[in-house]
Amino acid sequence: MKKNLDSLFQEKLNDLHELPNENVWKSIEASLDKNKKSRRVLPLWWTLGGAAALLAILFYVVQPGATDLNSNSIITDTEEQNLATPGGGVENKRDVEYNEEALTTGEAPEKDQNSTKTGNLGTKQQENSWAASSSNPKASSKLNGSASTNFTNPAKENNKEEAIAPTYSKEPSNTLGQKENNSTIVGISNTQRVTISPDDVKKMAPNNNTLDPNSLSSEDTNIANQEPKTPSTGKSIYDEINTQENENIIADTQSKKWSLEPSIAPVYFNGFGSGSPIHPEFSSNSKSGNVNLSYGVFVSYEVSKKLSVRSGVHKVDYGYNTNDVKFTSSFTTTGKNSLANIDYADNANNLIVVSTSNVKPSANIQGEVSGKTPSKNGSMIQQFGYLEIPLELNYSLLDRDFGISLVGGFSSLFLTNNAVLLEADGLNTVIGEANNINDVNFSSNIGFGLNYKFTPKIKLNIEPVFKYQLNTFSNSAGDFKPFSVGIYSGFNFKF
Amino acid sequence: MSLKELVHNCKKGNRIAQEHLYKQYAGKLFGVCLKYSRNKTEAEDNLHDSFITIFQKIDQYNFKGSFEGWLKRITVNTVLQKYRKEEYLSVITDNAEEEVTVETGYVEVELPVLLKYIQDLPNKYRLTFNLYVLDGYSHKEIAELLGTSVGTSKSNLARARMILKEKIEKEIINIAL
Repeated sequence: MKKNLDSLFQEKLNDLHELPNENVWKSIEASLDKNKKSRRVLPLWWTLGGAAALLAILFYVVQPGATDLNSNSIITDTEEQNLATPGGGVENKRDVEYNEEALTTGEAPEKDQNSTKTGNLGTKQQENSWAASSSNPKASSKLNGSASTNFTNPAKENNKEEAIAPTYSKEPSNTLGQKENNSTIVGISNTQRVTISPDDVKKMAPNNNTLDPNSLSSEDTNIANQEPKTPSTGKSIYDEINTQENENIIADTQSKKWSLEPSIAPVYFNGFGSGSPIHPEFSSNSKSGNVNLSYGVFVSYEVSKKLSVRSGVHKVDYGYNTNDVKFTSSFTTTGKNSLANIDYADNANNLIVVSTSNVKPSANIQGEVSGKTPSKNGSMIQQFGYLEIPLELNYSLLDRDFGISLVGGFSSLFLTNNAVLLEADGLNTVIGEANNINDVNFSSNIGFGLNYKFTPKIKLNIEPVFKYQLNTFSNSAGDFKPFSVGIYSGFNFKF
Repeated sequence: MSLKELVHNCKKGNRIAQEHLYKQYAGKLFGVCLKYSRNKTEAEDNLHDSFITIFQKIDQYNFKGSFEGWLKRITVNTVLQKYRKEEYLSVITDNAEEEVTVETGYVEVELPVLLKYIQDLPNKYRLTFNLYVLDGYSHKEIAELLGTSVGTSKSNLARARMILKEKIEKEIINIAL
């Protein structure tokens, strides 16, 4: 008998169905756990880092500006209000009639007080406990129905509340089969939750999240055994799953990638307001910002398709000119004319710098230098260099070949270079260093990014970013509020 | 629990749902792995890798098309990824017949024997035979999946058929004796 070879195989093998070794699931589970852990570590690290950095900013912003006492008190008020609200809610719960609505509104504030996760657990557990209590199939018709009938009895309600409350704090200490009332059942469902924690999943019977029968009284075992048979089985497992999903916060499974971006930017630095960080005398002088260079590298981590977090290191120089300055030298180096905010260099002790914008050409200077070496008009340049460590979020608005994103975050700036120079006729001379510049400074950053993907792994980024300096100067004169604008560009490599 | 709930919960990474899904489909997908792999151990490895991919990509399943078909595609792709790296020199045969018949007499060749013959085929022959004969892929699709040409795919299939035919006929003689 001749047979077609293909159909010979098709007949036998098309619906091949074979159960794999049990170890396969165990190893899948182990791999899933491993993935989960490695995914969890980083976001947690970023969160903590972000929180710490935010606190640091708050300290710097709020404390040095001691004049802003009002704003401090406002913050405290807000906190108190927040605290008061949940408390009030809880109080309300006891006053209001015991009906289902009261229960739900009462529960809500508790969610706020505890973490949302536990709050949800509490709610789900209740449902479970009710489902479990309805071991009698008739009673299991509707959860809501059975719940509301029970809630009409305030005594029971209270009883249940007490029973639930301890489950928030000490779950494992709940023992099984203590009494045959509501609280016992809550205890059971609670233990169920412990039983199905990921580590123990292997031990579970395949069809059900059953309890260890030995540790249960006979009636309790009944309840557990009946679960799969009752019509509410699906719901019950579903509830279990919902309960567990609150415990299992698993980062989404999208691929997450690191990327590296060397970037370079022209940065323009200037200040809002009319103050002068060097001396009040120059407050009204016009200031002109300088364009300097910033270069460094960003390392970013894709938290989700749209959101990425990035940090890195950048070397950045800032500078601005104070215009309309007149300077000359004096033989008397008593410091009478010296500017308090400047630590003069050894060879610059004799220099006297004054503003020409608010002082009429005075005979004073002329007199001191005997008129032989006339003063020079020029400008005073203040320069500072930083090592900048940004921590920024990048939210993608459009992610195609051409992409648009929003950038926001802050930078920690560590002072590396600090100089004040005088400039006249194209020649510079160093006066010294400013002594009112903080070694560590923060800026808050906002900008947007335009990018073009050459390949999925390489893209060109151009990002205009505005950075508002928060505490450049320890005692800035007037209200000179420094800021910088940079156009960062570079190639981003995913790896 | 409905399929929708199951998938929904798997998307959230719920372990119980994942186990549920595994238990529901492991048998079928293991069957696929057995056919595409060289032996049972490798099939288990491939099943493991397939489920990891399934749980990672389940977010992308949007309830369009059959879920089982989706799972099967992922499994086939996972196995292909593993074996297509191992290149085999393909022998171009001229007699790439569309239909091959074997003289089986009245002897029944058992499933485990047939499975073993398939598993023993060199990678490219095995994958091509599975894709074309058992899973209904076209030569064009196979060429794309395996990174070869349509011609190579056809010759791989012909070669696979020839080997299988020889083995079956030998087996039938053995049984008859």
